[in-house]
Amino acid sequence: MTGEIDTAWELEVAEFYRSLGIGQGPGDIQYRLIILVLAKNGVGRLTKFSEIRNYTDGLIDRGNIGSKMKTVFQLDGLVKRVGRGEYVLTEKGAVAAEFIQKSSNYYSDIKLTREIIDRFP
Amino acid sequence: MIEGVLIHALVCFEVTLVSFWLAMKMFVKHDPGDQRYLISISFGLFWMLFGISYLCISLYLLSAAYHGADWASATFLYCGFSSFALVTAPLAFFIIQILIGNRKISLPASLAFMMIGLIYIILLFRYGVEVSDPGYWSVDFRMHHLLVLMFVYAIYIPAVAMIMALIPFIALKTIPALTKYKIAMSLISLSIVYGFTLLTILHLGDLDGLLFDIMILIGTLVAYVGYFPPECLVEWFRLKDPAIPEFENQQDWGYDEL
Repeated sequence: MTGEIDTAWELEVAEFYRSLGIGQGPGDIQYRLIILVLAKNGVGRLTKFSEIRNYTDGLIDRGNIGSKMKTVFQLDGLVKRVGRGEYVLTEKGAVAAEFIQKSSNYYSDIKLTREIIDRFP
Repeated sequence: MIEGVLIHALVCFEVTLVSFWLAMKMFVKHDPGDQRYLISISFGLFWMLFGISYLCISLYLLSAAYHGADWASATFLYCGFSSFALVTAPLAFFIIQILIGNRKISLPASLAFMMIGLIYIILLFRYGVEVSDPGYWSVDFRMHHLLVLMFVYAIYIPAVAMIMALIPFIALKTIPALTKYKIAMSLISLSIVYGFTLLTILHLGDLDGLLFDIMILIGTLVAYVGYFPPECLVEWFRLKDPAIPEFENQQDWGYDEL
């Protein structure tokens, strides 16, 4: 994945999934931002913790991000920790990233349809 | 007096009444502050122009039934076609505004169709329509070949293409049943109206003219029932969510009930 990550958009998407009762994965803003930053750099490439914090600071507490990295991403094998505050995305992590990107597309479709339906007299 | 032509005039007058009634109800359906206000007005304007067109055609038939095909009846026919040439302009605004929601696109598109309509009217008066003697059911007329071609390629085909753009929304599972019903009924009514108007303009036969106008009357009724469904249809198609009361006494819940 290339290009910048729009945190406001990701928040909106996460809020939509949370409103459907999906609090984990697509509905979790922490998960979304972390996986998207890792996917932006690509599989097997180094991502620093500070880079993730560039997107999460002001939205989520630093401790929560660290905890999420350890308890979800490392534990489930989505990333490998290669140094202090240094991670690389695995193939399994890339699958998760693709799913998160597709969840954004699904939300876009739903939003567009709702807007059209709202305009119907 | 020709009874058949009078019956035909009555059918056309009923099309006018239903169109006007639908137009009036669409004009007052939404408040000016609502985002659907202009869309609703444009749809009302479509039916208003269509109603005016059929009012002129019913007067044309009425005049022809009593006095034969003379200059007076021909005047009504010209007025009717002139009004009909403009109906695609509000329809273009209606559909494009629903789909895109941007007036910078829907207004120019609507103006383009208005220009096409005005060119059609100029050509209509330039080439004229040949009116023959009345038959038993309708009054035969021949429109210039160029006008028929222009109607097909510049008015009918673009309008049908725009109407078809709404089809995918019927198949979506994420939209309410009432909206699906409205879209489906709009598609059916507009398809009937445009299709049978094209056949009317081609004028295939004496009785056919009456049958086509009966179909157009059905089309206008479908449009009315689509936007203002009677209670029986609401219940039959289950258009509203049933009012199911929520179970409130949570203390009564047992594990076997969960």
